[in-house]
Amino acid sequence: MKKSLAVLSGLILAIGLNVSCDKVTQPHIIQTSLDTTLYPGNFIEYEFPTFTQNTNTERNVLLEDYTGHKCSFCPAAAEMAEGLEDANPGRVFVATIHAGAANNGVSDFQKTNESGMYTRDFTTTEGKEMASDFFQMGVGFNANPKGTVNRLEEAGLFFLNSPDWEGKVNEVLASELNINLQAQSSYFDETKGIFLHVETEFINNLEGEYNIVVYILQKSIVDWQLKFGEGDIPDYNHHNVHIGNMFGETWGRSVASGSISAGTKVQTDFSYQIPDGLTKDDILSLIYVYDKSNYEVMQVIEHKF
Amino acid sequence: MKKLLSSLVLFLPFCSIAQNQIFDRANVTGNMETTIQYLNDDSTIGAFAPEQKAVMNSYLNVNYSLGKFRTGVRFESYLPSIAGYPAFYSGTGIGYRFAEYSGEKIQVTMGNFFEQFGSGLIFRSYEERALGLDNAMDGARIRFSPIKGMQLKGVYGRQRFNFDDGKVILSEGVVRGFDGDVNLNDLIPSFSDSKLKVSLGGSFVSKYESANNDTLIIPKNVGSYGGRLSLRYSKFYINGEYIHKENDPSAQNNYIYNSGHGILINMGYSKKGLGILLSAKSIDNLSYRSQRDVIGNQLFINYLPALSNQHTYNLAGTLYPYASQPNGEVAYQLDFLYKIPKKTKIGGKYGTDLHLNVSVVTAPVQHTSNMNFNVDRIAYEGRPFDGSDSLYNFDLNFHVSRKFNKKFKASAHYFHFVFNNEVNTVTKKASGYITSDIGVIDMQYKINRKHALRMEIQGLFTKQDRGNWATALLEYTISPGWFVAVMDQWNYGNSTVKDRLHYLLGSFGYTHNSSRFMFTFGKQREGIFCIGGVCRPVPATNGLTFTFTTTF
Repeated sequence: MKKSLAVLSGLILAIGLNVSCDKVTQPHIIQTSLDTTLYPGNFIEYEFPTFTQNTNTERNVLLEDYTGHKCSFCPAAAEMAEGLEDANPGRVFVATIHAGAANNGVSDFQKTNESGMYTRDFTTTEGKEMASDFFQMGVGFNANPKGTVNRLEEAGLFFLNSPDWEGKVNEVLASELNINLQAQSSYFDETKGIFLHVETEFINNLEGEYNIVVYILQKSIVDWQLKFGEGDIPDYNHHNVHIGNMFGETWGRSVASGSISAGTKVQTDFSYQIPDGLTKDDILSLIYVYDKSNYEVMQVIEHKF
Repeated sequence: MKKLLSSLVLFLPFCSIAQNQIFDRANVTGNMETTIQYLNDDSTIGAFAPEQKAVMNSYLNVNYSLGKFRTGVRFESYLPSIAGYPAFYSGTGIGYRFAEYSGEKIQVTMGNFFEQFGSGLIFRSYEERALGLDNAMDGARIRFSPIKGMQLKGVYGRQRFNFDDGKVILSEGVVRGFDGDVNLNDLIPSFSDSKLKVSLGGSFVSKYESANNDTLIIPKNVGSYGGRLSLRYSKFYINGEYIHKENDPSAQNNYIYNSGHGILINMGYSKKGLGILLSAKSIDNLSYRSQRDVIGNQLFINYLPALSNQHTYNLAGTLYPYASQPNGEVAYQLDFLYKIPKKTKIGGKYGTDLHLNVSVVTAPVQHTSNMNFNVDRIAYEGRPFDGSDSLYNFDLNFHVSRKFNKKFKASAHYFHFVFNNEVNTVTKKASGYITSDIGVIDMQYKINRKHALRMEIQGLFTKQDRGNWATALLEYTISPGWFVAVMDQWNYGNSTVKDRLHYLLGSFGYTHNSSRFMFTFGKQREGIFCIGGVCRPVPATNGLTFTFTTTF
């Protein structure tokens, strides 16, 4: 009897102690859209950076090159884009977006084969969504290659043929800077996680709604490309290929809207996990803020991790 | 059919006999308490009359028992509740009901019940009607005594929170607990005759409450556990209990994630004519409630006794009474009782009783170095009996009582309080410490076998708050049924001349068998009413109060 009682009491005690206490050692729910699991430790200990005054005064260029690996005229346009980038280091940045002028953002130029050549799918969800929308908006996106230069509009169109890119690039480079950007990031090898922090500063009074987008580009991909005059090239070097957006946001997220006073600074934080097979040195980011009313890119910067 | 009818006719008388036998053994008991106040506005003392002018609290307990079975119900009525009573009591309805079976070794209860584990530091469900405090459990309880010297208890339920428009509102949280007590002298036959008496016990209580907090991960299950030991050897005794509570963020502790502890130790020596009792208490973050957003006196799962005398004399008991601090305190108390023997020069013919009581309560030290509050929300480290020099309360009181002859007896009382009004705020007219000295003389003269006269004279002296007070009470009793009394409290030392008010209060009562009628009329000053370290403010009133109690 006594033995049974002892066992019973012990059992009740053990069950009670185990099931009836919730020990919480890290009680804070962190109010953030960041993927805090990318931080190797308690994210509450993560130190957000502080920014010094941004001294930049120049407006940079985002050259979006809409292309396709089966588009034979596209390599020439790509070379032109890269040439503009090389000629304006730190001022002109190329994003190579594999997407076509079609309702679904994919034309024959982007299609893949099941085996052999052109098996790699270069398209991205965000790239296809942009292409689809721009195609349907009638802003000049009707074929590959086509490109935008800060999506600066001219006669209602902002998709340009490659020969027109240089002039528009120079026009943008000489234009007034209204929004400034600077960025800092942290990388954690254990998780291949990146926290990116961007400060958007409104230099002049602005009206409207402004969003921020971060492109992730793979610096180089060697794969098949159809090239006019040369045919199928198996080891073509695809430059700064768009592989996605941070948070998967095609149109980004708001930084400010309404009447925005000069001097307004907004910090936006992003998290990103580098895909398998890539390292932080294989990729870079292009961060830009655009005007939602006309898609014009107000400023873009490149940030490497 | 005829056969069936004839069988019924034959059977019915036996049913009737059996029923009569059963109901002969049944028993109905109960009691009733009613308080009705008719209140007037009185701007001089800050008394306000409600729109209804009259207010009422009323209770009726009815218990029915039949053999090992017992059931009961309590009706309550607040139309509306009397002055100063918690406003969350309203309407008429059933506030308590239960059914219970008590076997030889097992007792089971369903419905409402009161229960206590150990000293109550971990679990106490009880009613203190005068305070408006009732945290009755609503659920199930099992008591089991498997063998002599051992008692096991298990409770499971929700606690009474409010009584709103005649309906009991229960806590959001569920309380579960079990407790075991072992008396070694009863349990071990060879130990039964030992001079050393030993009993020990242990408790475990857990509460569950859902949580939906945007910024914090709230522990939904909060456990507490502890043990107790009691030793007695001849005239000496010592008993103590230790309770540990796991992280329990709440409105009371500002949502910190500290664990909590409670320790209560009593030791004493007693023999004829002499008693010495030493008590010590250490509390840290031990507010344990079945609903984390509740403050005040409601929904405490546990009970934190005050280590200070509960004073009965008016000025000593209601102006600066100390209330336990569930967030933390370290307290010590000494009681020394001595009876100067009778038929001695000093002790007189009947002897003289002396009683010294000293208690001191301080804030606990909160060690904050090497804490990482931003990560774990543990605000400090609290250690047992680690008191600081920040005084919460000091209470020294000395009492002498003596019977001079068959007709006259008297007592004299002295109280010295240092009361921290920042911790227990009882007045807005003072800040920091309030120091007061109180003297009381209580005399009783028995005129004859039926008639007696009692008089109290009290004086409170302080330079803070509302200054000095004097109280005089005269009470005349005609046994066994009648009494009449008149009392005046005079705030003669108030620094504001117009506030040097008299609070004149008359009362008379009549007792008939187990029923008592009492009328009180006049002014009552605002004050604090405490029982066992739990307090509620009492507003100033001017009016007539009728109280009726009866038992059956």
